Amino acid sequence: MKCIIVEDENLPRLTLRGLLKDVETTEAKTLAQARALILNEKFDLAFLDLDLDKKLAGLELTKIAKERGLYSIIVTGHSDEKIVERAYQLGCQDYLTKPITQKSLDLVLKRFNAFDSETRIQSLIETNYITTHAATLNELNIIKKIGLTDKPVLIKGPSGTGKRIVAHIIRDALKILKDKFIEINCAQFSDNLLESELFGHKKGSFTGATEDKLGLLAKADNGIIFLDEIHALSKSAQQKLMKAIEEKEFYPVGSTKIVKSNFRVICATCEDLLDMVATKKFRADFYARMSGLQIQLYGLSERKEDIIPIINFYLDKFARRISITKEAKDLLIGLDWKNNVRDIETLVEYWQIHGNGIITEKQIPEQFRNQVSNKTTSNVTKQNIRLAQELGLKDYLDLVKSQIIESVIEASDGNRNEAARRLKISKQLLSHYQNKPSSKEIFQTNHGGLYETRLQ
Amino acid sequence: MKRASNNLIHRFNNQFSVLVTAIDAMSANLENKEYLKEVLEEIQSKKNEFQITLDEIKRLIEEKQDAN
Repeated sequence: MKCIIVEDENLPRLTLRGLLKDVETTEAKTLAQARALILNEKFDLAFLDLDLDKKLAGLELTKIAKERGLYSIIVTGHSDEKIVERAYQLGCQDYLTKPITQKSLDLVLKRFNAFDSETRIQSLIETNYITTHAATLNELNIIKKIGLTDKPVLIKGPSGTGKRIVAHIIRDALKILKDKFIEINCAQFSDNLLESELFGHKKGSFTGATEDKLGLLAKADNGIIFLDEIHALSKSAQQKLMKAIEEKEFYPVGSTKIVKSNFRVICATCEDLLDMVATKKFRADFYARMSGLQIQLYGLSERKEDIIPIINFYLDKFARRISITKEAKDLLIGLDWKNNVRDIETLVEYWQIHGNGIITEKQIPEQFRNQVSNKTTSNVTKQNIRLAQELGLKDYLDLVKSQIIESVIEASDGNRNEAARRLKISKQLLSHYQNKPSSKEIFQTNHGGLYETRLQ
Repeated sequence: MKRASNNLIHRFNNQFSVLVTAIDAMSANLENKEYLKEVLEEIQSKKNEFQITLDEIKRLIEEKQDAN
Protein backbone atom coordinates (compact mmCIF):
# COMPACT_ATOMS: atom_id res chain seq x y z
CA MET A 1 0.00 0.00 0.00
CA LYS A 2 1.41 3.38 -1.00
CA CYS A 3 0.12 6.55 0.58
CA ILE A 4 0.61 10.29 0.23
CA ILE A 5 0.30 12.64 3.23
CA VAL A 6 -0.51 16.19 2.22
CA GLU A 7 -0.12 18.57 5.18
CA ASP A 8 1.55 21.97 5.39
CA GLU A 9 2.26 21.85 9.11
CA ASN A 10 5.29 19.83 10.10
CA LEU A 11 4.19 18.29 13.39
CA PRO A 12 0.80 16.93 12.21
CA ARG A 13 2.49 15.58 9.07
CA LEU A 14 5.24 13.88 11.08
CA THR A 15 2.64 12.50 13.47
CA LEU A 16 0.57 11.00 10.68
CA ARG A 17 3.68 9.41 9.21
CA GLY A 18 4.47 7.92 12.64
CA LEU A 19 0.97 6.53 13.08
CA LEU A 20 1.13 5.03 9.55
CA LYS A 21 4.43 3.31 10.30
CA ASP A 22 3.55 0.09 8.45
CA VAL A 23 2.58 1.97 5.28
CA GLU A 24 4.91 3.30 2.59
CA THR A 25 4.40 7.06 2.74
CA THR A 26 5.34 10.10 0.63
CA GLU A 27 4.82 13.63 1.94
CA ALA A 28 3.84 16.93 0.36
CA LYS A 29 3.81 20.33 2.08
CA THR A 30 2.17 22.49 -0.58
CA LEU A 31 -0.75 22.29 -2.99
CA ALA A 32 1.57 22.45 -6.02
CA GLN A 33 3.86 19.73 -4.65
CA ALA A 34 0.87 17.51 -3.85
CA ARG A 35 -0.72 18.05 -7.25
CA ALA A 36 2.51 17.12 -9.05
CA LEU A 37 3.03 13.98 -6.95
CA ILE A 38 -0.56 12.76 -7.32
CA LEU A 39 -0.51 13.33 -11.06
CA ASN A 40 2.86 11.67 -11.66
CA GLU A 41 3.14 8.85 -9.14
CA LYS A 42 1.00 5.87 -8.26
CA PHE A 43 -0.61 5.95 -4.82
CA ASP A 44 -3.35 3.86 -3.24
CA LEU A 45 -4.60 6.40 -0.74
CA ALA A 46 -4.17 10.06 0.11
CA PHE A 47 -4.52 11.93 3.41
CA LEU A 48 -5.39 15.47 2.39
CA ASP A 49 -5.28 18.44 4.76
CA LEU A 50 -8.33 20.49 3.94
CA ASP A 51 -6.79 23.90 4.70
CA LEU A 52 -3.61 23.52 2.73
CA ASP A 53 -1.92 26.78 1.58
CA LYS A 54 -5.30 28.46 1.39
CA LYS A 55 -8.71 27.75 2.84
CA LEU A 56 -10.28 24.49 1.59
CA ALA A 57 -7.51 23.85 -0.97
CA GLY A 58 -7.75 20.15 -0.03
CA LEU A 59 -11.07 20.00 -1.90
CA GLU A 60 -9.23 20.75 -5.14
CA LEU A 61 -6.89 17.84 -4.50
CA THR A 62 -9.87 15.59 -3.80
CA LYS A 63 -11.00 16.03 -7.38
CA ILE A 64 -7.55 15.18 -8.77
CA ALA A 65 -7.24 12.19 -6.43
CA LYS A 66 -10.59 10.87 -7.65
CA GLU A 67 -9.51 11.19 -11.28
CA ARG A 68 -6.35 9.22 -10.45
CA GLY A 69 -8.37 6.48 -8.73
CA LEU A 70 -7.02 7.19 -5.23
CA TYR A 71 -8.91 6.53 -2.04
CA SER A 72 -8.77 9.99 -0.46
CA ILE A 73 -9.28 10.97 3.15
CA ILE A 74 -9.82 14.60 4.08
CA VAL A 75 -8.04 15.53 7.33
CA THR A 76 -9.22 18.68 9.06
CA GLY A 77 -10.16 20.46 12.21
CA HIS A 78 -13.46 21.50 10.58
CA SER A 79 -16.54 19.53 11.42
CA ASP A 80 -18.89 21.65 9.33
CA GLU A 81 -21.33 19.21 7.73
CA LYS A 82 -21.59 21.27 4.53
CA ILE A 83 -17.84 21.01 3.99
CA VAL A 84 -17.96 17.26 4.65
CA GLU A 85 -20.80 16.89 2.16
CA ARG A 86 -18.90 18.94 -0.44
CA ALA A 87 -15.80 16.77 0.04
CA TYR A 88 -17.81 13.60 -0.49
CA GLN A 89 -19.46 15.09 -3.58
CA LEU A 90 -16.02 15.81 -5.03
CA GLY A 91 -14.96 12.21 -4.54
CA CYS A 92 -13.32 11.84 -1.13
CA GLN A 93 -14.09 8.46 0.44
CA ASP A 94 -13.42 9.21 4.08
CA TYR A 95 -13.08 12.06 6.53
CA LEU A 96 -10.75 12.30 9.52
CA THR A 97 -11.28 15.01 12.12
CA LYS A 98 -8.33 16.30 14.11
CA PRO A 99 -7.06 15.33 16.61
CA ILE A 100 -6.19 12.07 14.81
CA THR A 101 -5.87 9.07 17.10
CA GLN A 102 -4.43 5.65 16.32
CA LYS A 103 -7.95 4.25 16.78
CA SER A 104 -9.59 6.64 14.30
CA LEU A 105 -6.77 6.03 11.81
CA ASP A 106 -7.09 2.24 12.15
CA LEU A 107 -10.80 2.54 11.37
CA VAL A 108 -10.04 4.56 8.23
CA LEU A 109 -7.48 1.95 7.11
CA LYS A 110 -9.97 -0.85 7.75
CA ARG A 111 -12.54 0.90 5.55
CA PHE A 112 -9.88 1.43 2.87
CA ASN A 113 -8.93 -2.27 2.93
CA ALA A 114 -12.57 -3.30 2.43
CA PHE A 115 -12.89 -0.83 -0.46
CA ASP A 116 -9.56 -1.88 -1.96
CA SER A 117 -10.46 -5.56 -1.75
CA GLU A 118 -13.75 -5.10 -3.66
CA THR A 119 -12.08 -2.92 -6.29
CA ARG A 120 -9.25 -5.44 -6.72
CA ILE A 121 -11.66 -8.38 -7.04
CA GLN A 122 -13.81 -6.44 -9.52
CA SER A 123 -10.69 -5.88 -11.59
CA LEU A 124 -9.77 -9.59 -11.33
CA ILE A 125 -13.23 -10.56 -12.58
CA GLU A 126 -13.18 -8.07 -15.46
CA THR A 127 -9.69 -9.14 -16.54
CA ASN A 128 -10.27 -12.89 -16.39
CA TYR A 129 -13.92 -13.54 -17.27
CA ILE A 130 -15.40 -12.00 -20.40
CA THR A 131 -19.07 -11.27 -19.86
CA THR A 132 -21.66 -8.54 -19.85
CA HIS A 133 -24.42 -11.05 -19.09
CA ALA A 134 -26.29 -9.63 -16.08
CA ALA A 135 -27.02 -12.96 -14.36
CA THR A 136 -23.40 -14.11 -14.76
CA LEU A 137 -22.12 -10.79 -13.38
CA ASN A 138 -24.42 -11.20 -10.38
CA GLU A 139 -23.01 -14.66 -9.73
CA LEU A 140 -19.41 -13.48 -10.11
CA ASN A 141 -20.05 -10.67 -7.61
CA ILE A 142 -20.38 -13.39 -4.95
CA ILE A 143 -16.56 -13.67 -5.16
CA LYS A 144 -16.29 -10.21 -3.57
CA LYS A 145 -17.80 -11.57 -0.36
CA ILE A 146 -16.01 -14.90 -0.40
CA GLY A 147 -13.30 -13.72 2.01
CA LEU A 148 -15.89 -13.02 4.71
CA THR A 149 -16.42 -16.74 5.32
CA ASP A 150 -14.44 -19.96 5.00
CA LYS A 151 -17.38 -21.99 3.65
CA PRO A 152 -16.75 -24.36 0.72
CA VAL A 153 -17.64 -22.96 -2.70
CA LEU A 154 -19.53 -24.89 -5.38
CA ILE A 155 -19.11 -23.66 -8.97
CA LYS A 156 -21.83 -25.01 -11.26
CA GLY A 157 -22.18 -24.71 -15.00
CA PRO A 158 -22.02 -26.54 -18.32
CA SER A 159 -18.72 -27.74 -19.70
CA GLY A 160 -16.56 -24.96 -21.13
CA THR A 161 -18.12 -22.11 -19.16
CA GLY A 162 -14.94 -21.28 -17.23
CA LYS A 163 -15.43 -22.99 -13.85
CA ARG A 164 -11.67 -23.42 -13.51
CA ILE A 165 -11.09 -19.76 -14.37
CA VAL A 166 -13.55 -18.76 -11.65
CA ALA A 167 -11.70 -21.00 -9.16
CA HIS A 168 -8.48 -19.18 -10.11
CA ILE A 169 -10.17 -15.79 -9.64
CA ILE A 170 -11.21 -16.91 -6.14
CA ARG A 171 -7.62 -18.01 -5.47
CA ASP A 172 -6.33 -14.57 -6.47
CA ALA A 173 -9.14 -12.79 -4.62
CA LEU A 174 -8.15 -14.59 -1.43
CA LYS A 175 -4.46 -13.92 -2.16
CA ILE A 176 -3.62 -17.63 -1.99
CA LEU A 177 -0.14 -18.43 -3.31
CA LYS A 178 -0.10 -20.50 -6.50
CA ASP A 179 1.64 -23.46 -4.85
CA LYS A 180 -1.07 -23.47 -2.18
CA PHE A 181 -3.81 -23.88 -4.78
CA ILE A 182 -4.09 -27.61 -5.35
CA GLU A 183 -6.22 -28.84 -8.27
CA ILE A 184 -7.54 -32.33 -8.84
CA ASN A 185 -10.00 -33.69 -11.37
CA CYS A 186 -12.04 -36.31 -9.50
CA ALA A 187 -13.06 -38.03 -12.75
CA GLN A 188 -9.45 -38.94 -13.55
CA PHE A 189 -8.93 -41.29 -10.61
CA SER A 190 -10.37 -44.57 -9.45
CA ASP A 191 -11.84 -44.60 -5.92
CA ASN A 192 -8.81 -46.05 -4.16
CA LEU A 193 -6.35 -43.94 -6.05
CA LEU A 194 -8.35 -40.79 -5.40
CA GLU A 195 -8.41 -41.43 -1.64
CA SER A 196 -4.66 -41.94 -1.68
CA GLU A 197 -4.23 -38.71 -3.69
CA LEU A 198 -6.46 -36.68 -1.39
CA PHE A 199 -5.52 -38.05 2.02
CA GLY A 200 -2.05 -39.46 1.31
CA HIS A 201 -0.93 -42.93 2.33
CA LYS A 202 1.49 -44.78 4.54
CA LYS A 203 4.26 -46.91 3.08
CA GLY A 204 3.08 -50.50 2.66
CA SER A 205 -0.60 -49.68 3.10
CA PHE A 206 -1.36 -51.23 -0.30
CA THR A 207 0.53 -52.85 -3.18
CA GLY A 208 2.62 -50.19 -4.82
CA ALA A 209 2.74 -47.91 -1.77
CA THR A 210 6.53 -48.05 -1.59
CA GLU A 211 6.87 -44.89 0.48
CA ASP A 212 4.84 -42.48 2.60
CA LYS A 213 2.87 -40.04 0.46
CA LEU A 214 1.64 -36.60 1.48
CA GLY A 215 -1.98 -36.11 0.39
CA LEU A 216 -3.28 -33.12 -1.56
CA LEU A 217 -5.40 -32.00 1.41
CA ALA A 218 -2.22 -31.72 3.49
CA LYS A 219 -0.48 -29.85 0.65
CA ALA A 220 -3.38 -27.40 0.59
CA ASP A 221 -2.76 -26.38 4.23
CA ASN A 222 -3.57 -22.63 4.50
CA GLY A 223 -4.61 -22.74 0.86
CA ILE A 224 -7.31 -24.12 -1.41
CA ILE A 225 -8.11 -27.60 -2.73
CA PHE A 226 -10.02 -27.36 -6.01
CA LEU A 227 -12.02 -30.51 -6.73
CA ASP A 228 -13.11 -30.41 -10.35
CA GLU A 229 -15.90 -32.76 -11.55
CA ILE A 230 -16.95 -33.40 -7.95
CA HIS A 231 -19.92 -35.45 -9.21
CA ALA A 232 -17.42 -38.22 -10.06
CA LEU A 233 -16.45 -38.62 -6.39
CA SER A 234 -17.59 -41.96 -4.94
CA LYS A 235 -20.00 -41.92 -2.00
CA SER A 236 -17.34 -43.44 0.23
CA ALA A 237 -14.84 -40.71 -0.72
CA GLN A 238 -17.60 -38.12 -0.21
CA GLN A 239 -18.07 -39.34 3.35
CA LYS A 240 -14.36 -39.19 4.16
CA LEU A 241 -13.97 -35.80 2.56
CA MET A 242 -16.97 -34.42 4.40
CA LYS A 243 -15.40 -35.41 7.73
CA ALA A 244 -12.09 -33.85 6.69
CA ILE A 245 -13.84 -30.58 5.66
CA GLU A 246 -15.68 -30.43 8.97
CA GLU A 247 -12.79 -31.32 11.25
CA LYS A 248 -9.85 -30.08 9.15
CA GLU A 249 -8.05 -33.30 10.03
CA PHE A 250 -7.93 -36.82 8.55
CA TYR A 251 -6.04 -40.09 8.47
CA PRO A 252 -3.88 -40.93 5.43
CA VAL A 253 -4.67 -44.35 3.91
CA GLY A 254 -3.19 -47.09 6.14
CA SER A 255 -2.07 -44.64 8.82
CA THR A 256 -3.20 -44.22 12.42
CA LYS A 257 -1.50 -40.83 12.70
CA ILE A 258 -3.89 -37.92 12.26
CA VAL A 259 -2.93 -35.10 9.87
CA LYS A 260 -4.20 -31.57 10.40
CA SER A 261 -4.65 -29.17 7.50
CA ASN A 262 -6.42 -25.83 7.30
CA PHE A 263 -7.66 -26.04 3.72
CA ARG A 264 -10.58 -24.39 1.95
CA VAL A 265 -12.61 -26.36 -0.58
CA ILE A 266 -13.78 -25.23 -4.01
CA CYS A 267 -15.75 -27.80 -6.01
CA ALA A 268 -16.93 -27.64 -9.60
CA THR A 269 -19.45 -29.67 -11.55
CA CYS A 270 -21.32 -29.66 -14.83
CA GLU A 271 -23.91 -32.10 -13.46
CA ASP A 272 -27.12 -31.34 -11.58
CA LEU A 273 -26.03 -32.45 -8.09
CA LEU A 274 -29.52 -31.97 -6.65
CA ASP A 275 -30.80 -34.40 -9.24
CA MET A 276 -28.00 -36.80 -8.27
CA VAL A 277 -28.98 -36.38 -4.60
CA ALA A 278 -32.61 -37.16 -5.52
CA THR A 279 -31.56 -40.31 -7.36
CA LYS A 280 -29.23 -41.22 -4.45
CA LYS A 281 -26.10 -41.01 -6.60
CA PHE A 282 -24.72 -38.22 -4.41
CA ARG A 283 -24.78 -37.90 -0.62
CA ALA A 284 -27.28 -35.28 0.57
CA ASP A 285 -25.20 -34.47 3.68
CA PHE A 286 -22.04 -33.99 1.59
CA TYR A 287 -23.94 -31.79 -0.84
CA ALA A 288 -25.21 -29.64 2.03
CA ARG A 289 -21.67 -29.35 3.42
CA MET A 290 -19.89 -28.43 0.20
CA SER A 291 -22.47 -26.12 -1.34
CA GLY A 292 -22.44 -23.35 1.26
CA LEU A 293 -21.61 -20.76 -1.39
CA GLN A 294 -22.72 -21.43 -4.95
CA ILE A 295 -21.72 -19.74 -8.18
CA GLN A 296 -23.80 -20.62 -11.24
CA LEU A 297 -22.24 -20.12 -14.67
CA TYR A 298 -24.25 -20.05 -17.89
CA GLY A 299 -23.63 -21.55 -21.32
CA LEU A 300 -23.06 -19.32 -24.35
CA SER A 301 -26.53 -20.14 -25.68
CA GLU A 302 -27.83 -18.08 -22.75
CA ARG A 303 -25.12 -15.40 -23.12
CA LYS A 304 -25.37 -14.50 -26.81
CA GLU A 305 -23.94 -11.03 -26.09
CA ASP A 306 -20.65 -12.60 -24.92
CA ILE A 307 -19.99 -14.70 -28.06
CA ILE A 308 -18.29 -12.09 -30.28
CA PRO A 309 -16.20 -10.53 -27.43
CA ILE A 310 -14.94 -14.03 -26.51
CA ILE A 311 -14.13 -14.81 -30.16
CA ASN A 312 -12.24 -11.49 -30.36
CA PHE A 313 -10.37 -12.38 -27.16
CA TYR A 314 -9.08 -15.61 -28.72
CA LEU A 315 -8.39 -13.92 -32.07
CA ASP A 316 -6.24 -11.33 -30.26
CA LYS A 317 -4.03 -14.13 -28.93
CA PHE A 318 -2.73 -14.79 -32.42
CA ALA A 319 -0.42 -12.51 -34.34
CA ARG A 320 -2.42 -12.94 -37.55
CA ARG A 321 -5.16 -10.34 -37.90
CA ILE A 322 -8.57 -11.73 -38.80
CA SER A 323 -11.82 -9.85 -39.24
CA ILE A 324 -15.31 -11.31 -39.35
CA THR A 325 -18.06 -10.13 -41.69
CA LYS A 326 -21.38 -9.01 -40.25
CA GLU A 327 -23.20 -11.98 -41.81
CA ALA A 328 -20.67 -14.39 -40.30
CA LYS A 329 -21.04 -12.69 -36.90
CA ASP A 330 -24.82 -13.09 -37.08
CA LEU A 331 -24.39 -16.75 -37.89
CA LEU A 332 -21.87 -17.21 -35.05
CA ILE A 333 -24.27 -15.59 -32.56
CA GLY A 334 -26.98 -18.00 -33.68
CA LEU A 335 -24.86 -21.12 -33.16
CA ASP A 336 -25.52 -23.44 -30.28
CA TRP A 337 -21.91 -23.66 -28.93
CA LYS A 338 -22.57 -26.96 -27.18
CA ASN A 339 -19.09 -27.03 -25.66
CA ASN A 340 -19.20 -23.29 -25.02
CA VAL A 341 -15.81 -21.53 -24.95
CA ARG A 342 -14.02 -24.76 -25.93
CA ASP A 343 -15.87 -24.65 -29.27
CA ILE A 344 -14.80 -21.03 -29.76
CA GLU A 345 -11.17 -21.97 -29.10
CA THR A 346 -11.42 -24.81 -31.63
CA LEU A 347 -13.01 -22.55 -34.24
CA VAL A 348 -10.43 -19.78 -33.83
CA GLU A 349 -7.62 -22.34 -34.12
CA TYR A 350 -9.29 -23.66 -37.29
CA TRP A 351 -9.38 -20.15 -38.76
CA GLN A 352 -5.71 -19.65 -37.97
CA ILE A 353 -4.88 -22.71 -40.06
CA HIS A 354 -7.56 -22.69 -42.75
CA GLY A 355 -9.02 -19.22 -42.92
CA ASN A 356 -7.91 -16.16 -44.80
CA GLY A 357 -7.92 -12.65 -43.33
CA ILE A 358 -11.68 -12.23 -43.61
CA ILE A 359 -14.10 -14.72 -42.11
CA THR A 360 -17.33 -15.13 -44.02
CA GLU A 361 -20.17 -17.60 -43.40
CA LYS A 362 -18.29 -20.10 -45.59
CA GLN A 363 -15.42 -20.25 -43.13
CA ILE A 364 -17.71 -21.59 -40.38
CA PRO A 365 -17.42 -25.39 -40.67
CA GLU A 366 -20.44 -27.69 -40.83
CA GLN A 367 -19.64 -29.24 -37.43
CA PHE A 368 -20.55 -25.90 -35.82
CA ARG A 369 -23.46 -25.09 -38.13
CA ASN A 370 -24.98 -28.50 -37.46
CA GLN A 371 -25.39 -27.49 -33.86
CA VAL A 372 -28.06 -25.04 -35.01
CA SER A 373 -30.10 -27.67 -36.79
CA ASN A 374 -29.50 -30.16 -33.99
CA LYS A 375 -31.03 -27.74 -31.57
CA THR A 376 -34.03 -26.88 -33.65
CA THR A 377 -34.64 -30.51 -34.48
CA SER A 378 -34.07 -31.95 -31.03
CA ASN A 379 -37.83 -32.26 -30.46
CA VAL A 380 -39.18 -31.06 -33.78
CA THR A 381 -37.98 -32.51 -37.09
CA LYS A 382 -37.17 -30.52 -40.21
CA GLN A 383 -40.23 -32.13 -41.78
CA ASN A 384 -42.41 -30.83 -38.91
CA ILE A 385 -41.10 -27.32 -39.47
CA ARG A 386 -41.66 -27.52 -43.23
CA LEU A 387 -45.24 -28.79 -42.73
CA ALA A 388 -46.00 -26.05 -40.19
CA GLN A 389 -44.83 -23.47 -42.70
CA GLU A 390 -46.77 -25.01 -45.56
CA LEU A 391 -50.03 -25.67 -43.69
CA GLY A 392 -49.92 -22.71 -41.32
CA LEU A 393 -49.17 -23.22 -37.62
CA LYS A 394 -52.80 -23.46 -36.47
CA ASP A 395 -53.78 -26.15 -38.99
CA TYR A 396 -50.54 -27.96 -38.37
CA LEU A 397 -51.11 -28.05 -34.58
CA ASP A 398 -54.68 -29.26 -35.12
CA LEU A 399 -53.26 -31.97 -37.30
CA VAL A 400 -50.76 -33.00 -34.62
CA LYS A 401 -53.51 -33.11 -32.01
CA SER A 402 -55.82 -35.23 -34.20
CA GLN A 403 -53.04 -37.70 -34.99
CA ILE A 404 -52.14 -38.04 -31.30
CA ILE A 405 -55.80 -38.61 -30.47
CA GLU A 406 -56.11 -41.28 -33.17
CA SER A 407 -53.01 -43.04 -31.83
CA VAL A 408 -54.26 -42.96 -28.22
CA ILE A 409 -57.74 -44.23 -29.26
CA GLU A 410 -56.00 -47.05 -31.09
CA ALA A 411 -53.85 -47.77 -28.00
CA SER A 412 -57.03 -47.79 -25.89
CA ASP A 413 -58.56 -50.50 -28.09
CA GLY A 414 -60.97 -48.03 -29.62
CA ASN A 415 -62.32 -46.96 -26.23
CA ARG A 416 -62.86 -43.20 -26.66
CA ASN A 417 -63.65 -42.64 -22.94
CA GLU A 418 -60.39 -44.28 -21.96
CA ALA A 419 -58.48 -42.24 -24.61
CA ALA A 420 -60.01 -38.98 -23.28
CA ARG A 421 -59.05 -39.99 -19.71
CA ARG A 422 -55.48 -40.79 -20.74
CA LEU A 423 -55.12 -37.46 -22.55
CA LYS A 424 -56.81 -35.57 -19.69
CA ILE A 425 -59.30 -33.92 -22.08
CA SER A 426 -63.08 -34.06 -22.36
CA LYS A 427 -64.83 -36.55 -24.69
CA GLN A 428 -66.24 -33.55 -26.60
CA LEU A 429 -62.80 -32.11 -27.27
CA LEU A 430 -61.60 -35.54 -28.35
CA SER A 431 -64.46 -35.73 -30.88
CA HIS A 432 -63.75 -32.17 -32.05
CA TYR A 433 -60.17 -33.01 -33.02
CA GLN A 434 -61.15 -36.38 -34.45
CA ASN A 435 -63.45 -34.59 -36.85
CA LYS A 436 -60.70 -32.23 -38.05
CA PRO A 437 -59.54 -32.82 -41.65
CA SER A 438 -56.45 -34.97 -42.13
CA SER A 439 -53.12 -33.61 -43.27
CA LYS A 440 -53.82 -35.00 -46.69
CA GLU A 441 -57.11 -33.07 -46.89
CA ILE A 442 -55.53 -29.89 -45.53
CA PHE A 443 -52.72 -30.05 -48.03
CA GLN A 444 -55.07 -30.77 -50.89
CA THR A 445 -57.10 -27.72 -49.86
CA ASN A 446 -54.05 -25.50 -49.61
CA HIS A 447 -52.07 -26.71 -52.59
CA GLY A 448 -54.50 -28.56 -54.78
CA GLY A 449 -52.16 -31.54 -54.89
CA LEU A 450 -51.59 -34.83 -53.14
CA TYR A 451 -49.32 -34.93 -50.12
CA GLU A 452 -48.93 -37.67 -47.61
CA THR A 453 -46.85 -37.66 -44.53
CA ARG A 454 -46.65 -38.98 -41.03
CA LEU A 455 -45.69 -36.65 -38.27
CA GLN A 456 -42.36 -37.54 -36.72
CA MET B 1 -13.80 39.59 24.97
CA LYS B 2 -15.91 36.47 24.46
CA ARG B 3 -14.69 36.05 20.86
CA ALA B 4 -11.05 36.46 21.92
CA SER B 5 -11.63 33.84 24.59
CA ASN B 6 -13.18 31.43 22.05
CA ASN B 7 -10.29 31.86 19.66
CA LEU B 8 -7.88 31.15 22.46
CA ILE B 9 -9.71 28.00 23.50
CA HIS B 10 -9.75 26.84 19.86
CA ARG B 11 -6.00 27.48 19.50
CA PHE B 12 -5.25 25.74 22.80
CA ASN B 13 -7.37 22.77 21.77
CA ASN B 14 -5.55 22.47 18.44
CA GLN B 15 -2.08 22.73 19.91
CA PHE B 16 -2.85 20.37 22.78
CA SER B 17 -4.40 17.80 20.40
CA VAL B 18 -1.38 17.94 18.10
CA LEU B 19 0.89 17.31 21.07
CA VAL B 20 -1.19 14.40 22.36
CA THR B 21 -1.25 12.78 18.90
CA ALA B 22 2.49 13.32 18.55
CA ILE B 23 2.99 11.45 21.83
CA ASP B 24 0.88 8.56 20.41
CA ALA B 25 3.02 8.54 17.25
CA MET B 26 6.25 8.58 19.26
CA SER B 27 4.99 5.71 21.45
CA ALA B 28 4.35 3.69 18.29
CA ASN B 29 7.91 4.35 17.06
CA LEU B 30 10.03 3.96 20.20
CA GLU B 31 12.56 1.83 18.32
CA ASN B 32 13.02 4.51 15.64
CA LYS B 33 15.50 6.98 17.18
CA GLU B 34 15.65 9.12 14.03
CA TYR B 35 11.90 9.58 14.05
CA LEU B 36 11.78 10.42 17.77
CA LYS B 37 14.53 13.02 17.27
CA GLU B 38 12.66 14.58 14.35
CA VAL B 39 9.41 14.87 16.31
CA LEU B 40 11.11 16.22 19.45
CA GLU B 41 12.91 18.88 17.38
CA GLU B 42 9.59 19.89 15.84
CA ILE B 43 7.93 20.11 19.28
CA GLN B 44 10.93 22.15 20.46
CA SER B 45 10.47 24.58 17.54
CA LYS B 46 6.82 25.01 18.52
CA LYS B 47 7.63 25.56 22.17
CA ASN B 48 7.37 29.36 21.89
CA GLU B 49 3.94 29.16 20.23
CA PHE B 50 2.72 26.83 23.01
CA GLN B 51 4.19 29.17 25.65
CA ILE B 52 2.39 32.20 24.13
CA THR B 53 -0.92 30.34 24.30
CA LEU B 54 -0.31 29.32 27.90
CA ASP B 55 0.61 32.90 28.85
CA GLU B 56 -2.57 34.22 27.22
CA ILE B 57 -4.68 31.68 29.09
CA LYS B 58 -2.98 32.58 32.34
CA ARG B 59 -3.62 36.29 31.69
CA LEU B 60 -7.27 35.65 30.83
CA ILE B 61 -7.80 33.66 34.04
CA GLU B 62 -6.15 36.42 36.09
CA GLU B 63 -8.37 39.05 34.42
CA LYS B 64 -11.49 37.02 35.23
CA GLN B 65 -10.39 36.55 38.82
CA ASP B 66 -9.77 40.35 39.15
CA ALA B 67 -13.19 41.10 37.66
CA ASN B 68 -14.80 38.86 40.27
